[in-house]
Amino acid sequence: MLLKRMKRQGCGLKVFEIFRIALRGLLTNKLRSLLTMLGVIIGVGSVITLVSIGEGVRASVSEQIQGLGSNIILVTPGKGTVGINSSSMGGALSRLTYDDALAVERKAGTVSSVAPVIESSATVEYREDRKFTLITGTTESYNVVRNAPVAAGGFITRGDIRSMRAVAVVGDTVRKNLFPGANPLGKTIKINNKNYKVIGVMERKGPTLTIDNDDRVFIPITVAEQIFDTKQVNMMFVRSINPESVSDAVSDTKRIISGRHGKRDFTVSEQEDILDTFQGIMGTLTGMLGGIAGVSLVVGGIGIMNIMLVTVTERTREIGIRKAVGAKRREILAQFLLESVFISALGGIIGIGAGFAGARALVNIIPKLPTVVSPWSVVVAFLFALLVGLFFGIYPARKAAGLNPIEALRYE
Amino acid sequence: MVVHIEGMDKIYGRGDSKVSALKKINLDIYQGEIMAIMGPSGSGKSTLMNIIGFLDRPTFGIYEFDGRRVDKLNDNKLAELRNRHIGFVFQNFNLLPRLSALANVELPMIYAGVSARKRLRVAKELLEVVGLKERLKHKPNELSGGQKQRVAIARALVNHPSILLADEPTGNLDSKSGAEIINLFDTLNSIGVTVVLVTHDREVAMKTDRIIYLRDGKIVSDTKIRNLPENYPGYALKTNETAGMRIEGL
Repeated sequence: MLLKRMKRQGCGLKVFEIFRIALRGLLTNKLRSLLTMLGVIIGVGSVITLVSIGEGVRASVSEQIQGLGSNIILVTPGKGTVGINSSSMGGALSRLTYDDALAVERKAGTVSSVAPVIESSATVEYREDRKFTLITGTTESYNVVRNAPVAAGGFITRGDIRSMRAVAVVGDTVRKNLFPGANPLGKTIKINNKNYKVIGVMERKGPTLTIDNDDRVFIPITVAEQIFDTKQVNMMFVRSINPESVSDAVSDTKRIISGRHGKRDFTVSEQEDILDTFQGIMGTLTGMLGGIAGVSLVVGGIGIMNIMLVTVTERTREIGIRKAVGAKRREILAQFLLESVFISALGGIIGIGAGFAGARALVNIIPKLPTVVSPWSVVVAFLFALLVGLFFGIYPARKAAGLNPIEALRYE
Repeated sequence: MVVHIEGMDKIYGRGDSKVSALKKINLDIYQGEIMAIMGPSGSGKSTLMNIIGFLDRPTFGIYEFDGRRVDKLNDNKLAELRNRHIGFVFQNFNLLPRLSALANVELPMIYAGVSARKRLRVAKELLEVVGLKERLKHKPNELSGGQKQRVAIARALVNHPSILLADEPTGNLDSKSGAEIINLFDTLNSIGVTVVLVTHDREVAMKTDRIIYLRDGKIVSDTKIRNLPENYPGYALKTNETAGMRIEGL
């Protein structure tokens, strides 16, 4: 019905004309319009940039987690959040031991191998050079389970573990730092002032965000137990015989370790759980970043309202004239509402460009911080900007439309 | 009869601050008339003009326009009536400063939903009629007072109004251009435009057919200066297709 009425009044034509009038209103004060737009530009730009950081981190870490392989199960000491809890972060609640790992490997038919890990930082020396790095005490299963082959030499063997041999396998970064241009195989390095013979060099893995995965030295787990004076395992990687048997392997692992401990004081998580948990955390974080940036968009909206109120006051006489020649309430309303929506829409479009530029600039400034501009953040930020323009435009536009024409014509 | 007003009051404010701007006004305005409303300031001239021109509503009483009751219409309907039936000319011109003469004249047609092409044609024709053929693209601040008022008159005529309402149209003009504007009203009236002038100027008023004198919100006299011929040609503006046809013979 409304449509019919609009048609009868030649409304399609009028809508177009009011569009033009609103646009002209915007262009008469270009600097002011631009400054008002700036709030929206910064708002939309920062939403897109900040969300791109969150999305980038999420994508990059998710890829690493998926790199674990779909048939990998992670066992961590203590009951807590999947994958991340106080013990795995270096706490001391652990009752998870190398023996638990051996038991799982031996008894669970669905498990092909288990790699327990004891990690701690220590100083590594070779002649004059020294370096603070991560020492990983593990078993021969590690390079199979974690899919981490050696580039030269060999990995830790069962014999090394049994005999507690002082041998070490160095990561790519350690090799570069301590043996620049030289072959480290057969050389002797010092870890906490104790001599170790280098028997292998790991293949380069590349960094995860700011964590250098190649800045490590591997030693037999039994040696690690001794030098770090602990039986606690930080975590163990369990590999099921095939991807289909992951859930069976999970229940077998739970049963076996529970049987040994008498209670469930550990956490078993599949790669998928870790991924879910991580993505959940990142989702919240990204949402938070976006929300904070969204606040600036609301502030931009208040700026629009402010300027539109000034504009309405300045143009009181114009409004009076338009009303005197027959402009209806809703035509005045539309004119000013469109003006504020134009500001926010144009600001939104420029802001999208600013967001892409910001995301790119961040990668240049901080090379290890990946950014991924997600399409949904662009759409949401733009629509939110439009909504802000509409919302904060309503009050000034209503004020304009409600002016008494007689008083408006008298306004100086 | 274009306008029929009967027992009309206009009261501003409430309670103690109540002010009666118009009291028991009875007034008929005929098709093709040119009349003047006079009276001291504060006598209610402008209020009466605003009500006749649908910028305001009477508090009590009857207002019939073209035989239709209009005293209780809503804002939208009044805007529509202003657009279709009223042409306003103001003392201070009230042109939009950023728009050219042409665009100013087009303005009422935009709200009437007239196509761009027709708007341009009609606006050009009317500016030619008021003698501003050479000033189409000029902005108001590039025009003299008399020229501005001509633009305003062209704008007022653009939708073929039933009445041209002019509030002190010569108030801001020197006597020469004032006289020219009055002559223009006279010419327009001679081709059938109904004109109502609010004025202080006795000389201007004496050129019309009829003078209404207001004091303290009441009509104290209603004098015919010239007798309207019987069966006044009446020239119903709205029956003519375009402004161009209407102004033939100017």
